[in-house]
Amino acid sequence: MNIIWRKTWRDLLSSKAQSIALIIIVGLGVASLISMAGAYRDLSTSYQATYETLHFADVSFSVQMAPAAVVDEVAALPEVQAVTGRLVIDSGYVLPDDEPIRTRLIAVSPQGMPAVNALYLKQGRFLRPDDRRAAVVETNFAEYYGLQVGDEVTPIINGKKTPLQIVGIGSSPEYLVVSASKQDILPSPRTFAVLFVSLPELQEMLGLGDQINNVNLIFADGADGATVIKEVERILQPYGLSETVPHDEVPSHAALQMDLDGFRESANVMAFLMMFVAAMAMYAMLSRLIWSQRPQIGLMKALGYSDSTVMWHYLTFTLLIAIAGSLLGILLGMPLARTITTTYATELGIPLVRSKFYPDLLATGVLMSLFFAVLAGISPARASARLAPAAAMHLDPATALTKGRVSIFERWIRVPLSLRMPLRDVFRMPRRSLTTALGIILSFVLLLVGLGMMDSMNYMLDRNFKTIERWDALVLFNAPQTENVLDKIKAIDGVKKVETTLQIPVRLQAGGLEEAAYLVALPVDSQLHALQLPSNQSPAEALRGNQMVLTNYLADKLSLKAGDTITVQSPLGSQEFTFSATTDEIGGGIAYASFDTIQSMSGMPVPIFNSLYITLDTNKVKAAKQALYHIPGVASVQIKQDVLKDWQGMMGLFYAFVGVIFIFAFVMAFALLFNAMTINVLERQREFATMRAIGASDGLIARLVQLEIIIMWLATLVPGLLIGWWANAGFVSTFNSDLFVFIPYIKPATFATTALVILLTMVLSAIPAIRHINRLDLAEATKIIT
Amino acid sequence: MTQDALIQLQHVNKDYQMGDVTVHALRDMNLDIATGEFIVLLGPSGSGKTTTLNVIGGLDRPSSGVVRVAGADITAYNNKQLTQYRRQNVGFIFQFFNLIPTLTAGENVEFALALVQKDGRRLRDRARELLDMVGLVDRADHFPSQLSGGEQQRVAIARALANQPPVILCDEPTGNLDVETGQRVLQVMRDLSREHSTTVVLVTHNSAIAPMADRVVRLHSGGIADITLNETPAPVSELSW
Ligand SMILES: Nc1ncnc2c1ncn2[C@@H]1O[C@H](COP(=O)(O)OP(=O)(O)OP(=O)(O)O)[C@@H](O)[C@H]1O
Ligand SMILES: [Mg+2]
Repeated sequence: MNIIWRKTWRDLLSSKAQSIALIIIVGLGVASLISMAGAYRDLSTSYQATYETLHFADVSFSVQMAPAAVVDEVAALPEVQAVTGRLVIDSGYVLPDDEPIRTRLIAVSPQGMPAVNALYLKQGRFLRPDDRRAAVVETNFAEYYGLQVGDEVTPIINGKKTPLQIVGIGSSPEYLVVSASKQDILPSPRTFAVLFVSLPELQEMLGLGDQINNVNLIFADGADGATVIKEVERILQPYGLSETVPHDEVPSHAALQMDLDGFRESANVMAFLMMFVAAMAMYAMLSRLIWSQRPQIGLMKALGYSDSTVMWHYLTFTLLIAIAGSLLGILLGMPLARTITTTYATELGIPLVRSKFYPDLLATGVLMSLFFAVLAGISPARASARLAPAAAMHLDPATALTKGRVSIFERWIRVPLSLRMPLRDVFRMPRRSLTTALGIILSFVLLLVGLGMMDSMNYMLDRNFKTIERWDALVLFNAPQTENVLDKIKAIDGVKKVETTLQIPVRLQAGGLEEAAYLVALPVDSQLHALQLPSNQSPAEALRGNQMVLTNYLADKLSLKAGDTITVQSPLGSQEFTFSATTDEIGGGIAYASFDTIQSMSGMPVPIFNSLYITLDTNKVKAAKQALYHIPGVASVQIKQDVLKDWQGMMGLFYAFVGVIFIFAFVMAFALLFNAMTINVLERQREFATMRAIGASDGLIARLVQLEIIIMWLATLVPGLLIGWWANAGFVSTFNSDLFVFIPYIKPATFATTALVILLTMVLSAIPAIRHINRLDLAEATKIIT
Repeated sequence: MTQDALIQLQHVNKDYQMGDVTVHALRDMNLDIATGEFIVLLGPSGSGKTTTLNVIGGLDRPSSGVVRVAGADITAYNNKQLTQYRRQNVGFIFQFFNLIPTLTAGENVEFALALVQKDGRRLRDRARELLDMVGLVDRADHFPSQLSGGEQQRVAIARALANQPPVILCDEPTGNLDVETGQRVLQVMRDLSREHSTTVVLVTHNSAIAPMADRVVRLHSGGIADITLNETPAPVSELSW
């Protein structure tokens, strides 16, 4: 057995470069599995831990106003473990440059940290009873503006700019992702300040007496949530109960969950894709290596080694590579998992990071590589073991594969010999070519999935912010408005074009299915929102009468086809619409109807609207925004450029994630191609040596090899691009949600770049092998069959 | 004889360093071979026969000494010149045939032809002529894997003769062949040297072949043990083994 071990070791050494490349491929596969899937789990654990530590409320109730004593009444319920009463006021906030943004003042008792929704202090301390004009600022906002303890914040309280001194900066479980409400998808630390202030002080400033408007509680162990909520609602009903928000519907939590779900899917899909590619590559390359050793297998058998010894020898070889690769993967993956978790957690504002070790992921990675290693080793070894030793020994690995006569096709079209040779090499050696092709196609997949992610994201942003949304500002009102407000807005300096719309939350019902959506009543000749209808339809047609246009996402969810009836439940009552067409937009749950139709349904004598699309003079955006905020009833003004910036800010993380994937994919593709090309050449050392011996020049050898590479590339180009595109589409769609739909898109330039990068990599990675061939000791290389 | 020698080996040594041990494959070898001469190199295994062929054919460089072919010192050639030399002056017939597996018999011959001349149409006809010479014209479209060992060897001969090289080097050409086929192969080469003044150096351990040579060179441990001159070489048909 000793001698066999020595042979295994020599085999590994003699194919050092290929073995290393395979180890890297397997290592990256295992590393991506451990790091990406591990990071997702770490993130889930981290935010759960954060929620627990900070006593995140199970449910939150909002009322008009209630005496603080009502909290004691709730606390007295046996199913309630802890409860906190707060005064929550939304108001304005003035940035140093006078730009108005939103603030939420959360007033809590300064007698120690609240029992529910506590803060995780990053800096400073919590409020104290003797503080005057003090605030604890939410971390995301503080970090965005670089605020420190001792600095001032300036909310507008009671109509007056009221400076408060920062005593602490902390994270709140309610605002890990700062979303003001469920309609604002995007975290908005730039435009939304959450400030924690002293309850008695705010009550005093607002002249309210000991009143509160928000009750948060945690259920006792084993309590039935629904029953508790009913009981508390009964207690709070007299005080104008306006909203009950269970834990799952807190905007921050929902956003976080969505973000994590997206991450998990893509992390898992990507991790398994990489692992799969690695395993396939290893299988293909190892089985190649072993096929090429069939004469040696014959020899070993002829010398009297048993079939099982021979098989073990080759299995050891493949298993050693799988084990080395797995080790590399573990060494690389574990720290990477931690890095991804920490970066992502920081970006998401999860204060407590928990990083764990997941033996099952590790086992999956290792077992998968071992499994494919065994598969790769066993089939060629078994096939060879079945051969009579003499037959196996006389097999030139290449000779055995060339069978049959010259095809009619080849006799018909006479191509020059120098082209015929590489063509034959590709097409008459199907096994070899198929494994090489597999390597190349997998490289296409890796690169296109990585680059396609970037393209899809950029395409989506571009389409949304340039093609579809043509407005500069979107103004939302608290309540429906009429003509006279419109006149005031048109009079603002810098406002160019104004379009009125109505935006109403609705429920759509069709064929027993139901979906929540936003109904946007749009002028049929809208210039500022371009519906993306099928090419044969105009908005005027698609929105005529009781017709409704839906996003692809909604149409899919309700499984509708054109002409189907939709029942629309809205504050205006229940109406029937006909589904006319889909609009290809990134927004998830949005339905469009004609502005005039909705107007007539509202039954109002004069036209009303609750939102406006506005175009602005680029030089007057800021002034116009301030003027808009001063119009009574304006709830928010969104400037498109700012929204785009927020997106890009949030995408930083996305790009980082995709970047990591891309680097992995690229290294893997490179290793894969290097391996495929090298084996391709080295397998035929003797053949090339013979050509050189009879006088073929170094240049001719290089040309033959490179020509073959170009033929391989051409042959795999179309399937590679197609399968890559398909894989990208699948991967991209894992990011979809009801908030936005990701359209898989790959730029033509990306296809071209990928194709060229692969060709270049193939050509370059064959150079060491060509050099090797051209430096072969001909005396030796022509002599024997190895 | 020295003046009209086509090939001259002068004080040729070839050493292989194997760790601490030095293997002397050739020791101070001196040999002149005339144009059109048919030489048989005989000797026990490991005596340096293949090494001698390789040194003459430009596949290997001697450790010291000079190899002259038509007056030019090929040991001073760079790789490019050596390639050119092999292409135009030497036809190799390897012990293991070494045909290119993805090319048919005809194409294997064409490949060698194409290294020297470029006219595609003529290449095919010439390749057929050459295969005809070794009696294989009907197998021109077959791949090496479909040919027997002897047929492959004959294709290898046709390939070696393709560019009418002045020197043919063959290593154990009959080792894998039966007597009858072996005789055919040898006859082809004997005719070449007679009719075209091609110089043939043939390596074998089979002394039964020796009588057909103009000269028989016996090697021992990397050196020349003795040289026998055959005044009247025996016809190939009289050989048997
Ligand atoms: N690449 C090499 N490395 C080390 N030693 C070598 C090498 N090639 C040949 N030798 C040694 O040189 C000597 C001569 O070898 P050569 O191949 O010329 O013998 P040969 O006469 O052709 O033998 P055979 O009849 O067995 O083919 C042998 O002792 C051999 O071991
Ligand atoms: Mg020999």
